[in-house]
Amino acid sequence: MVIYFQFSNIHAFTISKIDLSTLKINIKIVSLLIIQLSIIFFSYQIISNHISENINSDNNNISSVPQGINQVNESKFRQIEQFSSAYHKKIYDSQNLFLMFLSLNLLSFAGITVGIMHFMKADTSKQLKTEKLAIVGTLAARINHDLRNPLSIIKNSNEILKIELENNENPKVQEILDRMERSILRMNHQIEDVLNFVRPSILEKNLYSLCMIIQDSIERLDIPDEIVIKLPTNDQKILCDNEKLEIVFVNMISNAIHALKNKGRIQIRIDDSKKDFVIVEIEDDGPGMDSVTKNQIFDPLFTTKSHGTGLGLPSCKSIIENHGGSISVSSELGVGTTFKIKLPKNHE
Amino acid sequence: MATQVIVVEDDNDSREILSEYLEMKEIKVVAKAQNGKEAVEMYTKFQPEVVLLDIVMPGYDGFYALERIREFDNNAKVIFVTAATNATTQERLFKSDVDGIVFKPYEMDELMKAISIVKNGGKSIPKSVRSIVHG
Repeated sequence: MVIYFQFSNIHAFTISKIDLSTLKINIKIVSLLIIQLSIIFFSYQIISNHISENINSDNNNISSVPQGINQVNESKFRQIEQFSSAYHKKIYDSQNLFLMFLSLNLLSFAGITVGIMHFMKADTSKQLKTEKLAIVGTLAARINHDLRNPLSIIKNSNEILKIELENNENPKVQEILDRMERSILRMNHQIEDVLNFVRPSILEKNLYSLCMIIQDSIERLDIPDEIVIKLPTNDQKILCDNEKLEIVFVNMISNAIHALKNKGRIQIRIDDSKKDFVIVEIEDDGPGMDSVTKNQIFDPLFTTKSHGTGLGLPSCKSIIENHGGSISVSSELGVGTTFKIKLPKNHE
Repeated sequence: MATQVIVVEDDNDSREILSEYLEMKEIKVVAKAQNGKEAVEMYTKFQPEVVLLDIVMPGYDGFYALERIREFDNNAKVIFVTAATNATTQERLFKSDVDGIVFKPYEMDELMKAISIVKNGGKSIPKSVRSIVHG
Protein backbone atom coordinates (compact mmCIF):
# COMPACT_ATOMS: atom_id res chain seq x y z
CA MET A 1 0.00 0.00 0.00
CA VAL A 2 2.91 2.30 0.75
CA ILE A 3 4.36 1.61 -2.67
CA TYR A 4 0.96 2.23 -4.29
CA PHE A 5 0.65 5.62 -2.62
CA GLN A 6 4.12 6.51 -3.82
CA PHE A 7 3.11 5.64 -7.36
CA SER A 8 0.01 7.81 -6.98
CA ASN A 9 2.16 10.72 -5.87
CA ILE A 10 4.38 10.33 -8.92
CA HIS A 11 1.32 10.16 -11.12
CA ALA A 12 -0.24 13.22 -9.52
CA PHE A 13 3.02 15.09 -9.99
CA THR A 14 3.07 14.07 -13.65
CA ILE A 15 -0.50 15.23 -14.13
CA SER A 16 0.17 18.54 -12.41
CA LYS A 17 2.89 19.30 -14.95
CA ILE A 18 0.13 19.71 -17.47
CA ASP A 19 -2.29 22.50 -16.65
CA LEU A 20 -5.31 20.72 -15.21
CA SER A 21 -7.51 23.76 -15.62
CA THR A 22 -7.39 23.42 -19.37
CA LEU A 23 -8.25 19.74 -19.47
CA LYS A 24 -11.70 18.30 -19.74
CA ILE A 25 -12.47 14.89 -18.38
CA ASN A 26 -11.19 12.50 -21.00
CA ILE A 27 -12.81 9.12 -21.10
CA LYS A 28 -9.65 7.44 -22.38
CA ILE A 29 -7.49 8.82 -19.59
CA VAL A 30 -10.06 7.89 -16.95
CA SER A 31 -10.34 4.39 -18.42
CA LEU A 32 -6.59 3.90 -18.30
CA LEU A 33 -6.44 5.07 -14.70
CA ILE A 34 -9.26 2.71 -13.74
CA ILE A 35 -7.45 -0.19 -15.47
CA GLN A 36 -4.25 0.59 -13.62
CA LEU A 37 -5.98 0.90 -10.25
CA SER A 38 -7.73 -2.40 -10.92
CA ILE A 39 -4.45 -4.16 -11.78
CA ILE A 40 -2.84 -2.90 -8.60
CA PHE A 41 -5.88 -3.72 -6.47
CA PHE A 42 -6.45 -7.23 -7.82
CA SER A 43 -2.82 -8.20 -7.80
CA TYR A 44 -2.60 -7.06 -4.19
CA GLN A 45 -5.68 -9.13 -3.38
CA ILE A 46 -4.26 -12.20 -5.15
CA ILE A 47 -0.94 -11.98 -3.36
CA SER A 48 -2.57 -11.38 0.01
CA ASN A 49 -4.91 -14.32 -0.41
CA HIS A 50 -2.07 -16.57 -1.55
CA ILE A 51 0.07 -15.69 1.47
CA SER A 52 -2.89 -16.00 3.84
CA GLU A 53 -3.84 -19.44 2.48
CA ASN A 54 -0.27 -20.65 2.87
CA ILE A 55 0.01 -19.33 6.40
CA ASN A 56 -3.39 -20.79 7.40
CA SER A 57 -2.60 -24.23 6.02
CA ASP A 58 0.74 -24.16 7.74
CA ASN A 59 -0.87 -22.99 10.96
CA ASN A 60 -2.89 -26.21 10.92
CA ASN A 61 0.31 -28.21 10.64
CA ILE A 62 1.88 -26.29 13.46
CA SER A 63 -1.04 -27.03 15.76
CA SER A 64 -0.47 -30.80 15.24
CA VAL A 65 3.06 -30.50 16.65
CA PRO A 66 2.98 -31.73 20.24
CA GLN A 67 3.37 -29.12 22.98
CA GLY A 68 5.95 -29.20 25.77
CA ILE A 69 9.64 -29.98 25.72
CA ASN A 70 9.33 -33.35 27.48
CA GLN A 71 7.16 -34.77 24.70
CA VAL A 72 9.38 -33.64 21.85
CA ASN A 73 11.37 -36.43 20.47
CA GLU A 74 13.82 -36.43 17.68
CA SER A 75 11.35 -37.22 14.89
CA LYS A 76 9.04 -34.49 16.03
CA PHE A 77 11.95 -32.10 16.16
CA ARG A 78 12.80 -33.04 12.63
CA GLN A 79 9.19 -32.46 11.66
CA ILE A 80 9.38 -28.99 13.13
CA GLU A 81 12.63 -28.39 11.33
CA GLN A 82 11.22 -29.58 8.03
CA PHE A 83 8.07 -27.65 8.62
CA SER A 84 10.06 -24.53 9.46
CA SER A 85 12.13 -24.83 6.31
CA ALA A 86 9.01 -25.50 4.21
CA TYR A 87 7.34 -22.57 5.87
CA HIS A 88 10.27 -20.33 5.08
CA LYS A 89 10.34 -21.70 1.55
CA LYS A 90 6.71 -20.76 1.14
CA ILE A 91 7.38 -17.30 2.51
CA TYR A 92 10.28 -17.07 0.08
CA ASP A 93 8.04 -18.24 -2.80
CA SER A 94 5.36 -15.76 -1.77
CA GLN A 95 7.93 -13.00 -1.66
CA ASN A 96 9.06 -13.97 -5.16
CA LEU A 97 5.46 -13.96 -6.29
CA PHE A 98 4.94 -10.58 -4.70
CA LEU A 99 8.05 -9.20 -6.41
CA MET A 100 6.90 -10.62 -9.70
CA PHE A 101 3.51 -8.94 -9.37
CA LEU A 102 5.24 -5.77 -8.25
CA SER A 103 7.39 -5.82 -11.39
CA LEU A 104 4.31 -6.39 -13.52
CA ASN A 105 2.64 -3.48 -11.81
CA LEU A 106 5.65 -1.28 -12.41
CA LEU A 107 5.66 -2.22 -16.07
CA SER A 108 1.94 -1.69 -16.43
CA PHE A 109 2.23 1.61 -14.58
CA ALA A 110 5.01 2.72 -16.91
CA GLY A 111 3.03 1.67 -19.97
CA ILE A 112 -0.18 3.27 -18.79
CA THR A 113 1.60 6.46 -17.79
CA VAL A 114 3.11 6.71 -21.26
CA GLY A 115 -0.34 6.11 -22.71
CA ILE A 116 -1.91 8.73 -20.47
CA MET A 117 0.84 11.23 -21.31
CA HIS A 118 0.27 10.54 -25.00
CA PHE A 119 -3.48 11.09 -24.72
CA MET A 120 -3.03 14.15 -22.54
CA LYS A 121 -0.55 15.61 -24.99
CA ALA A 122 -2.89 14.93 -27.90
CA ASP A 123 -5.81 16.33 -25.91
CA THR A 124 -3.87 19.42 -24.87
CA SER A 125 -2.72 19.92 -28.42
CA LYS A 126 -6.29 19.46 -29.71
CA GLN A 127 -7.64 21.77 -27.03
CA LEU A 128 -5.04 24.42 -27.82
CA LYS A 129 -5.92 24.19 -31.49
CA THR A 130 -9.64 24.54 -30.70
CA GLU A 131 -8.92 27.52 -28.46
CA LYS A 132 -6.71 29.03 -31.15
CA LEU A 133 -9.50 28.72 -33.68
CA ALA A 134 -12.00 30.21 -31.25
CA ILE A 135 -9.69 33.19 -30.79
CA VAL A 136 -9.42 33.46 -34.59
CA GLY A 137 -13.20 33.63 -34.74
CA THR A 138 -13.45 36.38 -32.14
CA LEU A 139 -10.59 38.30 -33.69
CA ALA A 140 -12.05 37.88 -37.15
CA ALA A 141 -15.32 39.50 -36.12
CA ARG A 142 -13.47 42.47 -34.63
CA ILE A 143 -10.91 42.85 -37.40
CA ASN A 144 -13.58 42.43 -40.05
CA HIS A 145 -15.28 45.63 -38.98
CA ASP A 146 -12.09 47.57 -38.26
CA LEU A 147 -10.49 46.66 -41.59
CA ARG A 148 -13.48 46.94 -43.85
CA ASN A 149 -14.11 50.58 -43.03
CA PRO A 150 -10.70 51.91 -44.10
CA LEU A 151 -10.69 49.43 -46.99
CA SER A 152 -13.97 50.92 -48.15
CA ILE A 153 -12.48 54.41 -47.98
CA ILE A 154 -9.47 53.39 -50.05
CA LYS A 155 -11.66 51.65 -52.58
CA ASN A 156 -14.05 54.58 -52.93
CA SER A 157 -11.14 57.04 -53.14
CA ASN A 158 -9.62 54.90 -55.87
CA GLU A 159 -12.86 54.95 -57.82
CA ILE A 160 -13.10 58.72 -57.53
CA LEU A 161 -9.53 59.11 -58.70
CA LYS A 162 -10.26 56.93 -61.71
CA ILE A 163 -13.12 59.18 -62.67
CA GLU A 164 -11.15 62.38 -62.05
CA LEU A 165 -8.14 61.12 -63.98
CA GLU A 166 -10.10 59.43 -66.76
CA ASN A 167 -8.77 61.82 -69.36
CA ASN A 168 -5.21 61.77 -68.12
CA GLU A 169 -2.85 60.95 -70.97
CA ASN A 170 -0.26 59.24 -68.83
CA PRO A 171 -0.98 55.47 -69.01
CA LYS A 172 1.05 54.92 -65.86
CA VAL A 173 -1.63 56.69 -63.82
CA GLN A 174 -4.33 54.19 -64.81
CA GLU A 175 -1.90 51.33 -64.31
CA ILE A 176 -1.24 52.45 -60.74
CA LEU A 177 -4.93 52.86 -60.02
CA ASP A 178 -5.66 49.40 -61.44
CA ARG A 179 -2.90 47.95 -59.26
CA MET A 180 -4.44 49.61 -56.22
CA GLU A 181 -7.83 48.18 -57.11
CA ARG A 182 -6.38 44.65 -57.38
CA SER A 183 -4.68 45.00 -54.01
CA ILE A 184 -7.94 46.10 -52.45
CA LEU A 185 -9.64 43.05 -53.92
CA ARG A 186 -6.88 40.84 -52.53
CA MET A 187 -7.28 42.29 -49.05
CA ASN A 188 -11.04 41.88 -49.23
CA HIS A 189 -10.56 38.31 -50.40
CA GLN A 190 -8.36 37.55 -47.37
CA ILE A 191 -10.98 38.98 -45.04
CA GLU A 192 -13.66 36.94 -46.78
CA ASP A 193 -11.52 33.81 -46.41
CA VAL A 194 -11.42 34.26 -42.66
CA LEU A 195 -15.11 35.10 -42.42
CA ASN A 196 -16.14 32.17 -44.60
CA PHE A 197 -14.26 29.94 -42.24
CA VAL A 198 -15.64 31.30 -38.95
CA ARG A 199 -19.19 32.09 -40.09
CA PRO A 200 -21.75 29.29 -40.30
CA SER A 201 -22.41 28.73 -43.97
CA ILE A 202 -26.08 29.26 -44.80
CA LEU A 203 -26.78 28.06 -48.31
CA GLU A 204 -29.35 29.47 -50.72
CA LYS A 205 -29.73 26.71 -53.29
CA ASN A 206 -31.05 26.90 -56.79
CA LEU A 207 -30.39 25.03 -60.03
CA TYR A 208 -27.17 26.35 -61.55
CA SER A 209 -24.92 25.37 -64.42
CA LEU A 210 -21.49 24.27 -63.18
CA CYS A 211 -19.84 25.68 -66.29
CA MET A 212 -21.41 29.09 -65.60
CA ILE A 213 -20.15 29.04 -62.02
CA ILE A 214 -16.65 28.05 -63.18
CA GLN A 215 -16.69 30.76 -65.84
CA ASP A 216 -17.81 33.39 -63.32
CA SER A 217 -15.05 32.28 -60.97
CA ILE A 218 -12.40 32.68 -63.67
CA GLU A 219 -13.69 36.16 -64.45
CA ARG A 220 -13.15 37.16 -60.84
CA LEU A 221 -9.48 36.29 -61.12
CA ASP A 222 -6.59 38.04 -62.78
CA ILE A 223 -5.29 35.17 -64.94
CA PRO A 224 -1.63 35.55 -65.94
CA ASP A 225 -0.95 35.43 -69.70
CA GLU A 226 1.11 32.25 -69.46
CA ILE A 227 -1.58 30.27 -67.71
CA VAL A 228 -3.81 28.15 -69.92
CA ILE A 229 -7.12 27.00 -68.47
CA LYS A 230 -8.84 24.16 -70.27
CA LEU A 231 -12.56 24.31 -69.50
CA PRO A 232 -14.93 21.31 -69.28
CA THR A 233 -16.34 20.01 -72.54
CA ASN A 234 -19.63 19.07 -70.88
CA ASP A 235 -21.92 20.75 -68.40
CA GLN A 236 -24.18 19.74 -65.55
CA LYS A 237 -26.82 21.65 -63.63
CA ILE A 238 -26.93 21.02 -59.92
CA LEU A 239 -28.84 22.33 -56.93
CA CYS A 240 -26.35 24.56 -55.18
CA ASP A 241 -25.48 27.96 -53.79
CA ASN A 242 -23.68 29.45 -56.79
CA GLU A 243 -21.98 32.24 -54.83
CA LYS A 244 -20.53 29.81 -52.31
CA LEU A 245 -19.30 27.45 -55.06
CA GLU A 246 -17.75 30.42 -56.81
CA ILE A 247 -15.69 31.00 -53.66
CA VAL A 248 -14.54 27.37 -53.90
CA PHE A 249 -13.49 27.56 -57.55
CA VAL A 250 -11.85 30.95 -57.12
CA ASN A 251 -9.75 29.49 -54.30
CA MET A 252 -8.87 26.30 -56.18
CA ILE A 253 -7.91 28.02 -59.43
CA SER A 254 -6.01 30.73 -57.56
CA ASN A 255 -4.04 28.04 -55.69
CA ALA A 256 -3.29 26.25 -58.96
CA ILE A 257 -2.00 29.48 -60.53
CA HIS A 258 0.19 30.03 -57.48
CA ALA A 259 1.53 26.46 -57.62
CA LEU A 260 2.32 26.88 -61.32
CA LYS A 261 4.16 30.12 -60.57
CA ASN A 262 1.99 31.89 -63.14
CA LYS A 263 3.02 29.59 -65.99
CA GLY A 264 1.42 26.32 -66.95
CA ARG A 265 -1.80 24.47 -67.58
CA ILE A 266 -4.94 24.02 -65.51
CA GLN A 267 -7.55 21.53 -66.63
CA ILE A 268 -11.09 21.49 -65.29
CA ARG A 269 -13.22 18.42 -65.98
CA ILE A 270 -16.80 17.48 -65.14
CA ASP A 271 -17.71 13.83 -64.73
CA ASP A 272 -21.51 13.51 -64.71
CA SER A 273 -21.65 9.79 -65.43
CA LYS A 274 -23.03 8.93 -61.99
CA LYS A 275 -26.72 9.17 -61.25
CA ASP A 276 -26.74 11.06 -57.95
CA PHE A 277 -23.60 13.11 -57.94
CA VAL A 278 -21.18 14.96 -60.19
CA ILE A 279 -17.40 15.15 -59.89
CA VAL A 280 -15.44 18.27 -60.76
CA GLU A 281 -11.68 17.80 -61.14
CA ILE A 282 -9.21 20.66 -61.11
CA GLU A 283 -5.82 19.48 -62.28
CA ASP A 284 -2.59 21.39 -62.65
CA ASP A 285 0.76 20.26 -64.01
CA GLY A 286 2.64 22.06 -61.28
CA PRO A 287 5.34 20.74 -58.93
CA GLY A 288 2.91 18.60 -56.89
CA MET A 289 2.97 18.06 -53.12
CA ASP A 290 4.73 15.69 -50.78
CA SER A 291 2.62 13.42 -48.58
CA VAL A 292 3.14 15.55 -45.45
CA THR A 293 1.80 18.64 -47.18
CA LYS A 294 -1.01 16.68 -48.79
CA ASN A 295 -2.17 15.38 -45.41
CA GLN A 296 -2.32 18.86 -43.90
CA ILE A 297 -3.67 20.81 -46.84
CA PHE A 298 -7.20 21.05 -45.41
CA ASP A 299 -6.06 21.85 -41.87
CA PRO A 300 -7.01 25.37 -40.71
CA LEU A 301 -4.12 27.84 -40.59
CA PHE A 302 -1.81 25.53 -42.58
CA THR A 303 -0.24 27.25 -45.56
CA THR A 304 2.72 26.75 -47.88
CA LYS A 305 2.59 30.37 -49.02
CA SER A 306 4.55 33.27 -47.58
CA HIS A 307 1.28 35.18 -47.29
CA GLY A 308 -2.32 34.20 -46.66
CA THR A 309 -4.35 33.00 -43.73
CA GLY A 310 -4.28 29.26 -44.38
CA LEU A 311 -8.09 29.25 -44.24
CA GLY A 312 -8.88 29.15 -47.98
CA LEU A 313 -8.94 25.38 -48.46
CA PRO A 314 -10.60 24.62 -45.09
CA SER A 315 -13.34 27.11 -46.08
CA CYS A 316 -13.75 25.35 -49.44
CA LYS A 317 -14.01 22.00 -47.70
CA SER A 318 -16.61 23.43 -45.34
CA ILE A 319 -18.69 24.83 -48.21
CA ILE A 320 -18.55 21.57 -50.17
CA GLU A 321 -19.46 19.48 -47.13
CA ASN A 322 -22.37 21.83 -46.41
CA HIS A 323 -23.61 20.96 -49.88
CA GLY A 324 -23.47 17.30 -48.94
CA GLY A 325 -20.34 16.73 -51.01
CA SER A 326 -16.71 15.91 -50.42
CA ILE A 327 -13.28 17.01 -51.58
CA SER A 328 -10.08 15.05 -51.93
CA VAL A 329 -6.64 15.65 -53.37
CA SER A 330 -4.16 13.50 -55.22
CA SER A 331 -0.69 14.72 -55.97
CA GLU A 332 2.66 13.51 -57.22
CA LEU A 333 5.88 15.45 -56.87
CA GLY A 334 7.11 16.64 -60.22
CA VAL A 335 3.87 15.67 -61.94
CA GLY A 336 1.04 17.80 -60.58
CA THR A 337 -1.99 17.98 -58.32
CA THR A 338 -5.66 17.13 -58.83
CA PHE A 339 -8.46 18.25 -56.55
CA LYS A 340 -11.60 16.16 -56.86
CA ILE A 341 -14.86 17.76 -55.76
CA LYS A 342 -17.89 15.52 -55.42
CA LEU A 343 -21.26 17.28 -55.32
CA PRO A 344 -24.76 15.85 -55.13
CA LYS A 345 -26.96 16.67 -58.11
CA ASN A 346 -30.03 16.95 -55.87
CA HIS A 347 -32.36 17.42 -58.78
CA GLU A 348 -35.96 17.81 -57.72
CA MET B 1 -34.59 66.63 -59.86
CA ALA B 2 -31.58 65.21 -57.98
CA THR B 3 -32.21 62.53 -55.37
CA GLN B 4 -31.87 63.96 -51.85
CA VAL B 5 -30.06 61.89 -49.24
CA ILE B 6 -28.68 62.11 -45.71
CA VAL B 7 -25.31 60.44 -45.03
CA VAL B 8 -24.99 59.05 -41.48
CA GLU B 9 -21.47 57.79 -40.66
CA ASP B 10 -19.28 58.32 -37.59
CA ASP B 11 -15.98 57.86 -39.46
CA ASN B 12 -15.02 61.26 -40.90
CA ASP B 13 -13.16 59.93 -43.92
CA SER B 14 -15.93 57.46 -44.80
CA ARG B 15 -18.57 60.16 -44.50
CA GLU B 16 -16.65 62.67 -46.63
CA ILE B 17 -15.60 60.27 -49.37
CA LEU B 18 -19.14 58.94 -49.71
CA SER B 19 -20.61 62.44 -49.80
CA GLU B 20 -18.06 63.50 -52.41
CA TYR B 21 -18.85 60.54 -54.64
CA LEU B 22 -22.61 61.05 -54.37
CA GLU B 23 -22.23 64.69 -55.35
CA MET B 24 -20.18 63.59 -58.38
CA LYS B 25 -23.08 61.35 -59.36
CA GLU B 26 -25.48 64.26 -58.99
CA ILE B 27 -27.10 63.06 -55.81
CA LYS B 28 -27.70 65.89 -53.36
CA VAL B 29 -26.40 65.32 -49.85
CA VAL B 30 -28.77 67.56 -47.85
CA ALA B 31 -27.23 66.72 -44.47
CA LYS B 32 -24.54 64.64 -42.74
CA ALA B 33 -24.72 63.07 -39.28
CA GLN B 34 -22.25 61.28 -37.01
CA ASN B 35 -24.51 59.14 -34.85
CA GLY B 36 -28.04 57.79 -34.57
CA LYS B 37 -29.41 60.70 -32.57
CA GLU B 38 -28.16 63.28 -35.08
CA ALA B 39 -29.55 61.12 -37.89
CA VAL B 40 -33.05 61.34 -36.41
CA GLU B 41 -32.70 65.13 -35.98
CA MET B 42 -31.52 65.57 -39.57
CA TYR B 43 -34.32 63.38 -40.90
CA THR B 44 -37.06 65.28 -39.09
CA LYS B 45 -35.55 68.54 -40.37
CA PHE B 46 -34.89 67.66 -44.02
CA GLN B 47 -37.01 64.56 -44.74
CA PRO B 48 -34.78 63.27 -47.55
CA GLU B 49 -35.77 60.64 -50.07
CA VAL B 50 -33.17 58.15 -48.87
CA VAL B 51 -31.06 57.79 -45.70
CA LEU B 52 -27.65 56.11 -45.97
CA LEU B 53 -27.12 54.82 -42.44
CA ASP B 54 -24.09 53.26 -40.80
CA ILE B 55 -24.79 50.76 -38.02
CA VAL B 56 -21.87 50.77 -35.57
CA MET B 57 -21.69 54.31 -34.20
CA PRO B 58 -20.91 55.75 -30.76
CA GLY B 59 -23.90 56.38 -28.53
CA TYR B 60 -27.00 55.72 -30.62
CA ASP B 61 -26.41 53.16 -33.36
CA GLY B 62 -28.03 52.59 -36.74
CA PHE B 63 -30.75 50.28 -35.42
CA TYR B 64 -31.83 52.95 -32.91
CA ALA B 65 -31.91 55.56 -35.67
CA LEU B 66 -33.97 53.33 -37.98
CA GLU B 67 -36.55 52.73 -35.25
CA ARG B 68 -36.92 56.43 -34.41
CA ILE B 69 -37.04 57.50 -38.07
CA ARG B 70 -39.76 54.92 -38.75
CA GLU B 71 -41.73 56.22 -35.76
CA PHE B 72 -41.60 59.68 -37.31
CA ASP B 73 -42.22 58.50 -40.88
CA ASN B 74 -43.28 54.94 -41.58
CA ASN B 75 -42.48 55.39 -45.28
CA ALA B 76 -38.91 56.57 -44.75
CA LYS B 77 -36.48 54.87 -47.12
CA VAL B 78 -33.36 53.67 -45.32
CA ILE B 79 -30.27 51.86 -46.59
CA PHE B 80 -27.78 50.42 -44.09
CA VAL B 81 -24.21 50.92 -45.31
CA THR B 82 -22.10 48.80 -42.99
CA ALA B 83 -18.92 46.79 -42.43
CA ALA B 84 -20.53 44.73 -39.66
CA THR B 85 -21.15 41.31 -41.23
CA ASN B 86 -21.14 39.02 -38.21
CA ALA B 87 -24.01 36.57 -37.75
CA THR B 88 -25.65 38.55 -34.91
CA THR B 89 -25.73 41.76 -36.94
CA GLN B 90 -27.01 39.91 -40.00
CA GLU B 91 -29.82 38.44 -37.93
CA ARG B 92 -30.70 41.93 -36.64
CA LEU B 93 -30.46 43.32 -40.17
CA PHE B 94 -33.01 40.84 -41.41
CA LYS B 95 -35.41 41.55 -38.56
CA SER B 96 -35.03 45.31 -38.87
CA ASP B 97 -37.22 45.67 -42.00
CA VAL B 98 -34.70 48.07 -43.55
CA ASP B 99 -35.17 48.83 -47.25
CA GLY B 100 -31.61 48.22 -48.40
CA ILE B 101 -28.28 46.89 -47.19
CA VAL B 102 -24.85 47.52 -48.72
CA PHE B 103 -21.78 45.90 -47.18
CA LYS B 104 -18.44 47.65 -47.14
CA PRO B 105 -16.26 47.70 -49.10
CA TYR B 106 -18.80 48.16 -51.88
CA GLU B 107 -18.61 49.02 -55.53
CA MET B 108 -19.98 52.51 -56.09
CA ASP B 109 -22.24 51.14 -58.81
CA GLU B 110 -23.65 48.72 -56.26
CA LEU B 111 -24.55 51.59 -53.93
CA MET B 112 -26.03 53.66 -56.75
CA LYS B 113 -28.17 50.71 -57.81
CA ALA B 114 -29.41 50.22 -54.23
CA ILE B 115 -30.33 53.92 -53.94
CA SER B 116 -32.25 53.77 -57.21
CA ILE B 117 -34.19 50.61 -56.21
CA VAL B 118 -35.04 51.83 -52.71
CA LYS B 119 -36.01 55.33 -53.87
CA ASN B 120 -38.59 53.71 -56.14
CA GLY B 121 -40.10 51.66 -53.35
CA GLY B 122 -38.16 48.42 -53.84
CA LYS B 123 -35.91 46.38 -51.55
CA SER B 124 -32.19 45.85 -52.05
CA ILE B 125 -31.14 43.11 -49.62
CA PRO B 126 -28.00 40.96 -50.25
CA LYS B 127 -28.41 37.20 -50.53
CA SER B 128 -26.42 36.48 -47.35
CA VAL B 129 -29.05 38.33 -45.31
CA ARG B 130 -32.02 37.01 -47.31
CA SER B 131 -30.78 33.46 -46.83
CA ILE B 132 -31.37 33.78 -43.08
CA VAL B 133 -35.04 33.30 -44.02
CA HIS B 134 -34.23 29.96 -45.60
CA GLY B 135 -31.52 28.96 -43.08
